[in-house]
Amino acid sequence: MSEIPVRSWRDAADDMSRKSGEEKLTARDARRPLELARTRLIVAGTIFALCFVVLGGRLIQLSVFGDEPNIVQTAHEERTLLTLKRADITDRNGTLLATNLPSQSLYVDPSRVLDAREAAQKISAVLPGIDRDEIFHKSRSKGKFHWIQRNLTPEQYYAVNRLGLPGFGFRREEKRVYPHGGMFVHTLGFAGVDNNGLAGLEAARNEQLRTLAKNRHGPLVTSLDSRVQHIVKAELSAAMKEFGAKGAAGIVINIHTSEVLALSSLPDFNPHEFKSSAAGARFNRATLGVYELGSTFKAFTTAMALEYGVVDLDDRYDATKPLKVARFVIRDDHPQNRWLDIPEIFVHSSNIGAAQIARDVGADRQREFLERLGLLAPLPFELSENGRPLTPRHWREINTMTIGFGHGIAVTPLHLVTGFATMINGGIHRPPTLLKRTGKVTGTRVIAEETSQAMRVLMRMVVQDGTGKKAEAEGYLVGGKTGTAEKAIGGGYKENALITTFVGAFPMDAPRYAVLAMLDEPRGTKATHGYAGAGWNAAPVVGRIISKIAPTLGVMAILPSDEKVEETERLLVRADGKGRRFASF
Amino acid sequence: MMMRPALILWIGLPAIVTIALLLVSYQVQTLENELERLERQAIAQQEEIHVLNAEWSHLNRPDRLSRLASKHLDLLPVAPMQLHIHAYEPASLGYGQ
Repeated sequence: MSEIPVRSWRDAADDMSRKSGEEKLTARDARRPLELARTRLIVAGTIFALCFVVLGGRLIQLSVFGDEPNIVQTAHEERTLLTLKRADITDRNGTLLATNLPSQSLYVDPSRVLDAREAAQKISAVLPGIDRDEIFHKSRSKGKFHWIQRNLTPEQYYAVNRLGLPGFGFRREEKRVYPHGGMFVHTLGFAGVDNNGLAGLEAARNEQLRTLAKNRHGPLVTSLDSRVQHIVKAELSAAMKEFGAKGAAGIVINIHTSEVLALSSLPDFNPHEFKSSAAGARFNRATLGVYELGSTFKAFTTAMALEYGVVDLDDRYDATKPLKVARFVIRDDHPQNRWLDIPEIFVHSSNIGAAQIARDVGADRQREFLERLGLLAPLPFELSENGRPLTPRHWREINTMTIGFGHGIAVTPLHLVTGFATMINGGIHRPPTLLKRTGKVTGTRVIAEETSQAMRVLMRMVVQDGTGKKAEAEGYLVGGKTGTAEKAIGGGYKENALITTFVGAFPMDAPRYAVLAMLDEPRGTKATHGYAGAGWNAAPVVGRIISKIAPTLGVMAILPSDEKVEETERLLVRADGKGRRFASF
Repeated sequence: MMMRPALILWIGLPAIVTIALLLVSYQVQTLENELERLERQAIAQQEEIHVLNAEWSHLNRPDRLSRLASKHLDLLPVAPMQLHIHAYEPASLGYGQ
């Protein structure tokens, strides 16, 4: 009994030990792949964790610091800012003069047209401007794209769209629009249907206008003033009508900066319909046309003689009888038949006197002087239409003498007014510009300040006492010079076909603006007693322009009752350094 | 037994993240559509302003204004004498300011 349990216990223990030994063995075997898996899991987990750390880091970098924010922003701007093909043009006060407006253009894709005849019928009914057969031919022709009509009006666009014709589509385009119509056509010019400048500033600054628009750098600001332009144009058209002139030109320029405030050439035309405009209207009389501008040149002759010290204001010249030079005879239009001093030659516009002054200065010096005034070469003006002055090939003595009173040399009105600005502003020549200038404008000195002072006095005397009386504008001290010349046609001169010019500046004691008016073939009227000289037609235009633009430009008037006016006038006269008094004082 | 909370976490978290991602991406899409709409609107309004500017300039043509003024107003252009200096000092023949 006792053995059995012992044995059984032993057996049992042995069994158990064997069993547990077996079990131990299987557990160790099973644990090995489990450990392997756990290791793998840890490795994989670490890799994933690292990836997440990298991603998280990038996320923080992007959200907190931002990655290349400029590209995102530019793309955003690209989509939220309106970009046009051509920059706007404004006047000096920001008034819009030219702009691009979005428009729709009609085209046809012939391969998709169902019934060309019906389509042509319907479209020509709503677009009366185009021929039915033309639409029909385009709808039946080869290719996939033909323009039917560019730049439709909103009403036309709506009408054609409502027809719902297959094969006809619209393309968004931009149309150049001039809100002021023909007012600025001779300065701004115009752009064609493909947004390329074809004339004027639009052509001369074509690339700049495109670049400005592309970079959204705002408008091109010109030196023009729309209010002044309106006044100049209105007065010129009135004068053209009154005197039956063929054409007219007017310029207002700031004499200290040479900025052009207004430039008008009549007749003008509508830039939106430039194709149907008359060739004569397209011609820019103010910057492209060159004319012999007559006695206005005596200002240059006088200034030149004073500047080179050839004459003093007291010097006298014989104007008792016409001057014979070679086969020419120089006569006076307002003959005084006596010896005249320099101011008298200028005020009475004596050709005989001016010719002798020019001869005394000499051809070389005259040529050099006119060259420095920029009168012998095209101006660097911002237009595609800049006239080249006509000058004598051989500068002989007779040429020198005729140029002395403005014959034998042809320049543009813009040349003339720029030259006058130099005479008046203290003697500094600055090329004229159509763009607004800021800050001090540098230039080259042509005459001394004293000479310029004397010229201001002489010009004031012309208006007060001489040929330019009708240019007087109450309240302003206007000074200037008239010029009447027969038109040169085919080598000779055409009698009774005159170019009359007046260049004035104001106020003469502290001049700021110069004004030019030119009439092409004006005729005498009852009011002018049949006279057609500049003093009768061009001078009053300048006077009227000045009395209207001066308040606009903020130039103060002097009351006629003001005692100091007379004092100012005396001061003006005394400026020649001689204390001279003239009959009118 | 120890694995259960971790398992729930590891199954639940991706699920939540996925749903959140889905929601966010839908939101982003909605916002992008909204942005695009606003951008189009911005361009359209700039265009409108541009056209109105042109119209403003057209309606303010000096010739039109003077015609309307003479028709409807009892006013005249400023005469030189209405704009003058009381104590006029003769300038010392200097030119300009």
